Amino acid sequence: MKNKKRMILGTRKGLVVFEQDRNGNWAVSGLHFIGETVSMAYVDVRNDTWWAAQEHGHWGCKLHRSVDEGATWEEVEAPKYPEGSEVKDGEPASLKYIWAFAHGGNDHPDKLFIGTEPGGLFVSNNNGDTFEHIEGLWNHPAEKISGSEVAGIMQEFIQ
Amino acid sequence: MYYFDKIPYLHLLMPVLKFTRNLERFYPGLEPVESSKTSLQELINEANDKFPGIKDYILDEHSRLRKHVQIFIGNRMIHDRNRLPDNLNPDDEVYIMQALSGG
Repeated sequence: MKNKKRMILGTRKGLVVFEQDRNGNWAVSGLHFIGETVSMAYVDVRNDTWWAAQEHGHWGCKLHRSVDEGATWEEVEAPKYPEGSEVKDGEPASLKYIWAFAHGGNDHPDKLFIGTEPGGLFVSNNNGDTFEHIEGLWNHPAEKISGSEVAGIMQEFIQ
Repeated sequence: MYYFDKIPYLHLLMPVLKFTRNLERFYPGLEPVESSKTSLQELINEANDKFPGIKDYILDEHSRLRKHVQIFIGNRMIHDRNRLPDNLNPDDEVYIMQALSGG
């Protein structure tokens, strides 16, 4: 990745990799998760790990990472709202989408943040093996909104 | 014992969990799971031991059946999607299915 100009895009029909040639033209160089909704595609520039969040409709949100630029993908456990989390009284919070992704800085090499719908912020301290829900933000009075607006707020918040 | 009396060799049977082929996209080696467990929840957990992570495809983080997934025990659709309290007989076949829509 370092010597090539590439970008990865999440789309409703898969993850698309674009690569720039010597003349500056961009062309598709790879397709992954064909036919699946990829709600978030992210490259962690610290370690060149590719991340892809998927929304399968029937089967829920899934999270994949690749350490070899998409040659192989490994599914890791998607963030989970803890028991007792509710979007409103009597309605448990359940992950719908992963919208936002950010690394935790060069001084925290294994730290990652994920923003979700409903509006939750999750942190990982082991490069995405597991994620924890940040309760402080979830319980903040300003967070008492639900829906995709909150996920948008999360994206602004962590970037 | 009632079943054993009625049907010879029933004690050799075990509940089996069968999956929609749609899940083979994610688990290429997916096959039915037989188990000596006597509850639906235990049967799903056993399937998860054999195919790690598949429980998350069927149930959400609160162990509720996902909205567009359905489970049949034989010809009977389960009714309690939140608690999955169903018990199983040795000859039960359990089906994991997904809803279809569109045109």
